[in-house]
Amino acid sequence: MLVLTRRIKEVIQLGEDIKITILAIDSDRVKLGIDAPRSLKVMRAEVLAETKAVNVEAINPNLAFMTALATELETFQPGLIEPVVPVVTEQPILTGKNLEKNPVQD
Amino acid sequence: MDIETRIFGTLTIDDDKIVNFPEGLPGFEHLHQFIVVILEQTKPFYWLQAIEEDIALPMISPFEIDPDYSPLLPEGVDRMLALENEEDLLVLAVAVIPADVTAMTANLAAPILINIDASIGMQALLEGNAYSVRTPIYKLIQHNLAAGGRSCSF
Repeated sequence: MLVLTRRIKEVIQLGEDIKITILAIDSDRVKLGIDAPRSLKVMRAEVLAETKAVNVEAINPNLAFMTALATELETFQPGLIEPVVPVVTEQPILTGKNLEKNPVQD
Repeated sequence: MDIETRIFGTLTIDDDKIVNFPEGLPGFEHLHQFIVVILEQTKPFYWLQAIEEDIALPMISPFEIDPDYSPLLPEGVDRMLALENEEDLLVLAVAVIPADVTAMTANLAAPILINIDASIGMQALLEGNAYSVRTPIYKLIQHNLAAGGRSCSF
């Protein structure tokens, strides 16, 4: 790893068209300005890593809770924005079978 | 086409309802075809069901969580989604609903974006610090349940 020391308002140039400017320094935070071509993805590294972790956790939802939403909360009208995508199925899918596998906790 | 799913049983899918995710999803980069499943029974949650593997992610509208949600989308998103009309953009957030539902969260830092006209989707990683990958949503869901006139035993 190349290590550089920079002062506030100084710039690091990467290749031809990427510039990183040190805008502000706090005790444990650095504010950077990044000029890069729009084709280059710039993101906080932890957002990608955490999003991967979250997606993997998301595929095993608490079906008992979802079932409770389905059965107990018929009148629940949160007033959210309706997506306009095609509805795949309107059949109730979270059945008692799911409930047995993942019993509701009191 | 019929697919067998763990959660929904057999789903009959029209090919033109399949949403293509050219880059997959973080953690599931090998999956490129998904379908949005909307069930009255599980609202406010929606589902992103993969076609190539039996994987489904619950999602919630980020505007349900934060009415002022206004993510600064990375440059190039409109190009990647072939988005010509902003009204065709569907924005959803992946929800984690764990055994302890009080710990439920939604990822507002990486919204699922779908061009519903062109059936192209992506999970965009937002720049900046405005939103959290693990935004707690349990209290808000509870509040909405109460507002709907029902209590919830969870």
